[in-house]
Amino acid sequence: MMTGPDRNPLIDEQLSAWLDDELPAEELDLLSARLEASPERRARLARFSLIGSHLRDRQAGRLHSGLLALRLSARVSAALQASPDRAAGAAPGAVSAPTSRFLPYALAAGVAVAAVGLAMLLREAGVGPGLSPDEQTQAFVQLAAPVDRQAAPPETTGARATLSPQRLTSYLVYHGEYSGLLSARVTESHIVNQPRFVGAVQAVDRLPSQ
Amino acid sequence: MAGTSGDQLLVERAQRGDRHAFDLLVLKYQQKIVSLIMRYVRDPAEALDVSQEAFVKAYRALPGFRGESAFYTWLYRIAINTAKNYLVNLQRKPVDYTLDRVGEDHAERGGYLRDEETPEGLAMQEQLRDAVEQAIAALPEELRTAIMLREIEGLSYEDIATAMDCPVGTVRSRIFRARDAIDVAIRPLTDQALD
Repeated sequence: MMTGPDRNPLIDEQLSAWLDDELPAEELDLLSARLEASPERRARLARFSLIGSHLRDRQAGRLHSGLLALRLSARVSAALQASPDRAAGAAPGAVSAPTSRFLPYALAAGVAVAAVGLAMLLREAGVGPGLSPDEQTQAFVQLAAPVDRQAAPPETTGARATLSPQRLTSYLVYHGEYSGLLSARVTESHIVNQPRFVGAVQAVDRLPSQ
Repeated sequence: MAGTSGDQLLVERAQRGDRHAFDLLVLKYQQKIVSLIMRYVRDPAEALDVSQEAFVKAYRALPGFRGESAFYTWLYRIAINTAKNYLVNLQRKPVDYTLDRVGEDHAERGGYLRDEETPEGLAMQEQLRDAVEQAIAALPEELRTAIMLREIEGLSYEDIATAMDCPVGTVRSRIFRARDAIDVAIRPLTDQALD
């Protein structure tokens, strides 16, 4: 048996036992520190692993990776060094999906649908050639307001530039890509607390279901 | 089990950002992972790339690993998915040499070996195989039996102790001595390969 500064049979026996999942946990910390301090010992661990892998693959008649994997830990270490330290936790086994070749077309279609929708909304709000630039700007700001602001009672400015929240919501739902009866009912629920619609909504609810 | 908790300790350290702990896990499992991925990805250099990607993904996914399965089981799934995704991206059909298909298709595998491995690589592979075989043949019987029961049969030290009618500590020592003897035989080859 060879001896040397990094060859200690007791420590190497621990290496061997750890590889077999037979090292008591309390011995692991010390072994880990010794491995960190000794590239030679790490290389020996890799060779011990290679021996087992070779024997198993030979027995099973499988192709063996041979010496190939000995380079792997250094490559992984370098790759981790070069990349950001930690990524947001991906689910175990969840690896990157292959990029769809249709993705660019889907994005283009999405942009087109959004543009058409915006144009229709602007027309609905009265933004057009018939209004002055200031009126057009005001109408556009009304449309672009955040949802919580739109939910506030509309101020009565008197101009046709304002669009009631209910009307805007209804428009979006009924003309949306995924419009349907369910979304329509959800939209109706937005007006359920307004006194002038309570009666109508209750009447709808009394209708026999289809 | 000592080993599972040992892996878990390293995983927890790696989750706290200890790269060295993760590096030890890579060292421990790199052979198994490359061997596994080579059942899907035929080219050795590609297999190494995919293995690297699998380990990097595993490291990045570590914050989400809660230890509900053994670390190797979790790593195994990541490696398989990485290999399959790699082949899908290349629009190749996975080879799918499953664990159960032992001993099949020798001719086919021999074919791709000839096609895709370099002559130098093949020669090195031959030398490695010969060195391991000769070292095993030269082992004392009790060492050879101990390491074969461990590596081929996958028995625990306790089961090997029962089979060989000796203490567990003796099994641990015998397996190490067997590995050490084989290591002495293969080390010149590995040093040469890594130069």
